[in-house]
Amino acid sequence: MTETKQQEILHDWLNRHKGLFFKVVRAYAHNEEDRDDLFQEITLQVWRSIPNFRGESAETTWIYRIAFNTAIRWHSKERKHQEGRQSMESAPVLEAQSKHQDERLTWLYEQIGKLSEVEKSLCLLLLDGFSYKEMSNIVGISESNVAVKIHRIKKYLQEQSEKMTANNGI
Amino acid sequence: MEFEDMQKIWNADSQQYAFAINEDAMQKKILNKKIGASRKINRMEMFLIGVNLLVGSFILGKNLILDLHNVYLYGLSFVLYGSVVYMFLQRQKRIKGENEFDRSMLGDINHAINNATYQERLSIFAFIYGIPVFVLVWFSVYESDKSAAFLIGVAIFFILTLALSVVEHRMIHRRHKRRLVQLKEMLLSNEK
Repeated sequence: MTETKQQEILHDWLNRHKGLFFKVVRAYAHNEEDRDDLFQEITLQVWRSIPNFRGESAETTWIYRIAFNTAIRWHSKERKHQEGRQSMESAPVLEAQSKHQDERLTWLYEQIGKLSEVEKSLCLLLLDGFSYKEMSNIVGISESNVAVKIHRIKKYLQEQSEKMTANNGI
Repeated sequence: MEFEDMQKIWNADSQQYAFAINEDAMQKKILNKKIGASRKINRMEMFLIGVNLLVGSFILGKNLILDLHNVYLYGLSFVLYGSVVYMFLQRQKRIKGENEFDRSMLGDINHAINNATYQERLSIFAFIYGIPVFVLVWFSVYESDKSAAFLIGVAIFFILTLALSVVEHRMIHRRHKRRLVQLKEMLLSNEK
């Protein structure tokens, strides 16, 4: 595969599935600079993976898998900006669009942010409607293990939602 | 809020437009990352192999050409050549194992653990091989009638180097591997 073709595919995937990239970035990185850094890392890894993509799975499954692997590794290894180091020189790659902010979505991301790294991945897949079997393939654990973790995640989210409702006096 | 409501919020189109991508900046930064991160282990291995080969050959050549026939210097070149062979074999093993992992998240973590184990092993090897190098260098310097201060200086230099390699092993390689193993355990267990 030529580099131009690889670049074209990346461009196409970014156009059609950018929401997926943004979801992973928002779930795993909690400030502007980290989001920017993680987005670049995921994009780079997805770009590298393109020659290996044989179309045996859906594009979204493939991208999610690469994005999660990258995010978990990035999270455990780098966290450079959280440790107080300054960011890179030039313009940011990602620019937040404030007009598209939804408070309930922000709350949901806050809750996801409190989950463990693995649970975050499962939670994103669950919210995106992936089946247990697909989750099991992406994450590499058994379906029964997925089911146990998903049960716990749902319970946690519901508890948090109830707490929020109680605090708001609704 | 029920889980289904959360899913509706999640699936809103707004997620697609949460950020704007600055494509020019992205191209530039990704290119930098590609250059910077590419084949880090590979370069490290080639550097170590090259340096050991060069230093081993230099010591052996000097020993032969100048008719020194210093047994410690022969020993030193033998250790350096041995380390080259060891690193080359380990490198071949690593490259061969690169494609043995499945493409799931667990497969990727196993791959990362394998790489971390490899780096850990290299750092242990660097420590163990540093000891005979130290002993042989020290005795060859001793035989060349250098002053006591010089001998003490050489000893301090090597002891510091060995101590730093232990610190590097514990603080960087072992810690990184432990973190990855914890991640794997987290993935496989039903406990958070």
